[in-house]
Amino acid sequence: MGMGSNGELKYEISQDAYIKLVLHSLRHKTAAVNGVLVGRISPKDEGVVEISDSVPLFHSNLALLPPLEISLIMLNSKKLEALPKSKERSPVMQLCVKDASKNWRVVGADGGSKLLLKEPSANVVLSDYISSEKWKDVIDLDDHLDDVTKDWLNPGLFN
Amino acid sequence: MVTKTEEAELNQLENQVENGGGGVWEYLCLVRKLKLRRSEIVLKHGLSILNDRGKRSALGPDEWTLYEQVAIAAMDCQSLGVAQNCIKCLQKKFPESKRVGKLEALLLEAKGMWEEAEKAYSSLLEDNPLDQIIHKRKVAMAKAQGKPSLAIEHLNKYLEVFMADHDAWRELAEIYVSLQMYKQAAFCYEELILAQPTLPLYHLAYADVLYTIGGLENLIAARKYYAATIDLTGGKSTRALLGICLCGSAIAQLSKGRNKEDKDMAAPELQSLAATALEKEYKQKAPAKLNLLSSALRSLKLS
Repeated sequence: MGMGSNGELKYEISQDAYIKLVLHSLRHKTAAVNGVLVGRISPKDEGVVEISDSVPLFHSNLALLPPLEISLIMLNSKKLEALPKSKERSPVMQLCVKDASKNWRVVGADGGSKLLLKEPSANVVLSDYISSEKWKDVIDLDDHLDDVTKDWLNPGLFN
Repeated sequence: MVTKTEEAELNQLENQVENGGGGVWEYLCLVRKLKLRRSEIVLKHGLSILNDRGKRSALGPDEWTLYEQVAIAAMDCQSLGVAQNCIKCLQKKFPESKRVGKLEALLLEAKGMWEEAEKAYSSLLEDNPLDQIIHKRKVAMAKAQGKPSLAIEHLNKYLEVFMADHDAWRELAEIYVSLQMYKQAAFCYEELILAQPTLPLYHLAYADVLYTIGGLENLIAARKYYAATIDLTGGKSTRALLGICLCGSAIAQLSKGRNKEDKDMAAPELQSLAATALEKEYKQKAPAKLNLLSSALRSLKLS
């Protein structure tokens, strides 16, 4: 969830991040879901946030604080560990923490989609995954908290 | 509620059915008995029985039950043509039936013809004002139309009559939570805890709501209900253990700089105990995630 100071940022989402979040919503067809997008300001263009990964979080009672806090605390430590070589001014999860103390803002609320697909072929791959019922394998933090043996970071999803 | 054994039985049957190993009718009966929502599979395999004249007539009078089951599953999957055909067969067989009337109204709902559905339900209610399912359909319809405050109104009226309907209280609580009306949600969970004090689920949900409202008093109460959840589950609730840690950290922050009595409220021993239990659980069941958990717990202690 990269949040810039101005509202003109574009968000470019990678294929894996995109597919994972769509599959998560498919897994829970009858419920609203939420998750976190992980990304950083593009080294090439400061007006673009590159979203590299997505983490499925919850599919029930989204408006309650405790599970959300847990997830952000866990993600924070995880992603900071995972991004030690990031040369950019700040790994994005720091951005997330900064923003959590400020106000969350809805991207694109002023009209016009600012979310772009990085790989145009993503939808073809996605439809392939849908027909092979890949969404059954997506695990979110809700599932993990009910049974900690389930891995909510979904490392093997695209293997 | 579905027990572990029932779920295992169902999953095994489902596997068998999906792989063409027979047992379709047993599976369909079990789904009905447990009141589960497996619409896609029910539609696929139920329809294959209905389309096979021999298999269909072998069911005897259960044939009509299957028509009903498939009709509902089809509506859930937006296969409205299939649903319509099933309902037609039932109409022919039972022309005056109220039960078929409900299916017709449901079909209107599935088509998004809200006004017509509303009328159909109202006329069904005239005949039987205490029909719980129809009252609940009206709530569902309000939700489907994106009118949660209307759903709340319907549910509250319903609960005036059917006070002991726990599912309805829970539904109401969840709608309140989705609208961030936490105080009202808390009230619902209080009702549920009073009605079924031994169900850990409600203690946990109540604690989550109290924590979300925040403030020292609510946090301390939330911690008590997390503790009750742990007690009732024999220490098995990961969510409640994490909740204790969150509360401990939040209470410590709020009582910083206060007198000693207030500081004691943070009860750091309790937080440590919960943290130890969590680490033990992860060590046993999810060692790969232990680091993640430990650093999260550390940051909660430091804050």
